[in-house]
Amino acid sequence: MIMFDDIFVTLTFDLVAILIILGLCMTPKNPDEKNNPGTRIFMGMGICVIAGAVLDIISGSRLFGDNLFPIICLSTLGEITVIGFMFFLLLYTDYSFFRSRDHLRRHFAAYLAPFAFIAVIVIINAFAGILYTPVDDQVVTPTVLYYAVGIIEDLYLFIPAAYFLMCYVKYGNRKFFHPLSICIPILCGVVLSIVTPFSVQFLGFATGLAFLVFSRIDSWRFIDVKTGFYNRAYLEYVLKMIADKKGSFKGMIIADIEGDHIAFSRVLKEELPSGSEVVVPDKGRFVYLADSGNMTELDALASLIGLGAEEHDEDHPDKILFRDAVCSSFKDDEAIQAAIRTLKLRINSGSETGREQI
Amino acid sequence: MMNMIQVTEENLDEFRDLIPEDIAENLSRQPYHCIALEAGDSDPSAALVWEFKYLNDVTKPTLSRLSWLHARDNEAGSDIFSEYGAIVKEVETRKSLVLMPEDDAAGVTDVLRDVGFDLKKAEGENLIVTVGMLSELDIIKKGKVPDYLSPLESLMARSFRRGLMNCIFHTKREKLEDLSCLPMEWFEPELSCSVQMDDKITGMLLVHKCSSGRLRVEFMSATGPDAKKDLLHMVRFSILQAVSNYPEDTEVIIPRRDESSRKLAGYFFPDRKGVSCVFGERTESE
Repeated sequence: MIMFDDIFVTLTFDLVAILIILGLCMTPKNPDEKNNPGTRIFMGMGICVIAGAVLDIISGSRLFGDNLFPIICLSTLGEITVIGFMFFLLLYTDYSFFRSRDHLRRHFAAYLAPFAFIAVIVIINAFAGILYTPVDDQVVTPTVLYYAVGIIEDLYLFIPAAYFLMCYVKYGNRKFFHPLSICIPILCGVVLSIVTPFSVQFLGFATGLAFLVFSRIDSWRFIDVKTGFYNRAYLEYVLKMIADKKGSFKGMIIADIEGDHIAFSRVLKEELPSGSEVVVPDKGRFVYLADSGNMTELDALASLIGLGAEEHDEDHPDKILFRDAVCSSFKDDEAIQAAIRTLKLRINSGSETGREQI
Repeated sequence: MMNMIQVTEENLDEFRDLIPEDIAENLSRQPYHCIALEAGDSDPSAALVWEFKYLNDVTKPTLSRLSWLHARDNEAGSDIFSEYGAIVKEVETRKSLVLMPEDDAAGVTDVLRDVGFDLKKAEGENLIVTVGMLSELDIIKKGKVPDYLSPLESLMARSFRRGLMNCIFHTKREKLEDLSCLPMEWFEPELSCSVQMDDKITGMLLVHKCSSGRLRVEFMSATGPDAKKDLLHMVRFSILQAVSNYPEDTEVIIPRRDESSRKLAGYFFPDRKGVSCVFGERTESE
């Protein structure tokens, strides 16, 4: 039997408070951020969370009546909010890992199915009472379906968290996305709720989300909002990493242009390998950081970028004058220092022309 | 008086009798080099073909891999290696490696030993099968080719280049040294294929038809989230194409350049061994 008592109300309002804070954190402060697909998913999550929390409050305000219906409504909306949030977290985590819209599209139905099933069941329950059988005004007896929904809910949290943990073992951390800090609290919450009498799965979920939000906010300071690439602050951070021989970068291409730099960023997105790290330290300069130190490959990529810029000019009125691209690779300490010097020189004192190899 | 001649595409015709056609066709490529020794009007006394590895990759030491040696006698062999030694030293080559099929190396093992190669027998990296053997594989009997896979012939040159760069920069596999520079025409358009995801090519299987008519898998990589599945789809596609377009006795060379290609070849042909080879190496510079 379930008692809808003060503890339940307190817990629900705690959850509402957590959701509102998370939702507000996730809404981008800068409108340009909306161009980033990852941010759009995040923003969608934020809006849903706030909407869910507001609905929770509205239905919660009806608690003071002597009818059981508002309480069931509250429970239903809370359930849909949280489970919907899990669904969006799945989408976001998938995209952060694989950076692929097609992958997301192919798995969308599998991600949506549990959410849709639970949502339909709890909505029907609000009107037909299929999850609980009322004993009196404040006491209900759960049905088998209630436990089935609980198990699906736990699995909906557990399976993706375990899956992404496996992905972490396989692929490691993604930039500004640390699956361990998200998956471990969720897994702990689910396991504790199964082996102990305390239903702490949502607490684990909220903790995981909080870590996700903080890492996301952390990444914003490194993003150039106009192009979606990284900004100068990130370059400083990376140069320090390269100087300390950390990270996987083994080479770079510095491309200098004149003209529309946003149009050129589109050319780069088209021409460069997917998931490439590009830094825009200033308007006319783009730095592509590569995991390859093979100069033949870097040169081939640089000429591909040049061709892309030429093709763009044929089709668009907003011209790009592609001045040059310099390839460098980080062979040893001396080469690393020389590459960093060249980069700083070009950023601080305008571009130089001609090819060079460090 | 012996003259050293750089053999290139331009003067290759004079040396055709000395160099097998499948090796000679590579001389138009950047990492491949060939020198020959000639005395007056007589036939060349020696010819050596090698390939530089990691020459432009600053993160790895440069290696040279000998792919063909012809020497009339030990003296000619020794002379050509002294010329070779000077060339590879110039580019700071760390080691020279030789991995030649036993038949090709039969007449030159003494020369190789004399010039400092420590030789032993080894299984070659190339697995050679026939189209007939491919037609018996289970992979072509089940499953179908997805619509996001397209043959090379349907790609524009620019898309091919973009896709190739995407695959090269994402793969951790050993690959051809000059893969990023090879023209699209180098690959057999009906056998080679690619997979596309998010409007980018994320996987490629590229097959080259050698001058001798043999088929050689030059590059195979899938980098998307469903890489394993994509790889199998591409293999299925290429085998189906080979089976329907080539005679059963056509030889297919499957190079096993790294552990993952070795595993994949072992999965399809568990009992098949590589060609028996002579392997040796010598240090050029520390």
